[in-house]
Amino acid sequence: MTKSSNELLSDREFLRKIEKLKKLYPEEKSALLAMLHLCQSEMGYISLEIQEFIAKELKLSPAHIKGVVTFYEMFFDKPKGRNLIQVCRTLPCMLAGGEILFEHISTKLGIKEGQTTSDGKWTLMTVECLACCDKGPAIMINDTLYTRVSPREFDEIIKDYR
Amino acid sequence: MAEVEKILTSRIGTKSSSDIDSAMQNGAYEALIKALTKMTPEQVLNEVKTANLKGRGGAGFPAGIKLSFLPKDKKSIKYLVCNADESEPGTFKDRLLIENDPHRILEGIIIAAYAVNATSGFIYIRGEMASGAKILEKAISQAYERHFLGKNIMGSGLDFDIYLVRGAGAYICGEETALMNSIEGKRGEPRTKPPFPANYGVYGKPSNVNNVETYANIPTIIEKGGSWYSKIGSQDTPGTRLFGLSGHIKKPGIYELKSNVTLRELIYDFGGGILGDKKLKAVIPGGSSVPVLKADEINVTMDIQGLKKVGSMPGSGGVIVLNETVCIVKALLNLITFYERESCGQCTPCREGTHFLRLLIENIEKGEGVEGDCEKILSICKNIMGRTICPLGDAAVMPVESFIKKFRDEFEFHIKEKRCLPETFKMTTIFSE
Repeated sequence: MTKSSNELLSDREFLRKIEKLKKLYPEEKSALLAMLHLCQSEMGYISLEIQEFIAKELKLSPAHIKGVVTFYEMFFDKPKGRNLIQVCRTLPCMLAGGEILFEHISTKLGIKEGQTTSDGKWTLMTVECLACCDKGPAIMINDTLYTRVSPREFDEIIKDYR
Repeated sequence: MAEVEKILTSRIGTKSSSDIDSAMQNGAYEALIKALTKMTPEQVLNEVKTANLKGRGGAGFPAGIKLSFLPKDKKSIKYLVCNADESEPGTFKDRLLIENDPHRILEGIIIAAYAVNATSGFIYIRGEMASGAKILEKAISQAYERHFLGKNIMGSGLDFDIYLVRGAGAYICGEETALMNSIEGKRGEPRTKPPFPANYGVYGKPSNVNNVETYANIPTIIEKGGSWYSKIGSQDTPGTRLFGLSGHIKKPGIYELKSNVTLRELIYDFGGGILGDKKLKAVIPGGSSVPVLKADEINVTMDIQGLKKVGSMPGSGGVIVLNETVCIVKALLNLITFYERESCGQCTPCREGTHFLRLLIENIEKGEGVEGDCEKILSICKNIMGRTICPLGDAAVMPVESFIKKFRDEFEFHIKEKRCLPETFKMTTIFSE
């Protein structure tokens, strides 16, 4: 989850996966988002070195890759915490009590939106509608969705994370 | 109460419904086999046209007609795209289908591919739906194993592959041309139209984009016939729809109903009434981008004609219910913040307009609004509407204009009194009781 650029670039398994992704779609460049997802899951963010590496792999300019990385909210071009908490802030979750939950999380972890705890364990963000409006308030921790989360349940959920 | 007819959710709730064996025990791929063995591509397309199936993504364009825009020849490369980038606030129906009956979606896509001789297909699923992507991936590989995908499918001569593309967090990628750019590994910025996707789509090749729920209707249309389907429910939106109830409602969830159900029935008979036993204040009837309705405007059917009578639209079928404890300015601030954040930034009216709208509405909510703000907001709306490449600008304007027009008094109260209405000091939430 927190490999450095150099470690990643010399990781055979990673390079094999990149080669596989290249052949996955009718045209190579369609693999870009999948490659970025892979890199981020390996190192937590997408460093400039990795962006340049992918640019070469797909015969695109590094500027194109940076443009894509910075366009999509799920991609990070700077390191973040080991675990990412995303709290849905959109209307249906707000009506369900999303603000109360967000305030609780912010207080509990001692960080505001966009911040990372000093031990590097948590980064807190808001996210737009997660498409589970009937089960708000909803949050995602990394790739896992949690619904109907009460402040008390949140305290239980985070015990499982390191 | 409208009679409940299950088409889309008929297999949902059965054991391991996302698995191919279980789905096939309950009829999956029978319509595909029928189409491939007993019908010509033209007959398949005609059934979809006769069904008068309307797009379920929000715009409601007739799906059969859209498919027929693709070139007819057998030689040229053509792509079918399934839009699974569900992210319109209040909309959560596609998630239900993706996670519980992915084979219905695949079957619909493959039947459509046969109808138009498409070469391959893409399913673009939003990045946040990590588990949905895994389920679809497994379903696709199962469909290959059973020879419903790949070369010469079931000996019919049809070659068709499906590729899964995961998005990465951008509402705008639900717009069809932005989605195609995203498939090509680009920023999700919409393209100017024309050229339309039917001529110039993915990789510049003729393409057709349809919503998950739209494709999911196709197997039943083939199984039971377009004319059977066209007679279900409302004439302007035949078939059933997956209505999503959220917000201040006692029984939130997805309800598969005919579109001539009334909004009142949906809220009170199916949804069990208003959360907190409070008065209804407002309803957004079709996802956040459609005009809001007041409590006395719910005696209408949920089809195009019905909602038109009260100045709104069926949209994506996502119904958001607001009770009397909701500050209407705060609700609108929440929505405009969404559009500001999700504007791709290409067009000045949308990029700057949504920003200024958010600032003005935020000021009013904070008690810093000044006389004339409502006029200013409406004038900004006019300068966004119809002046952008894609409909996101319009989608931002429709809630803003309708909130101001229908709840003008509450906005003026905030501006004059520098505070919210007393009954909205403590909003109902699921934690209230």
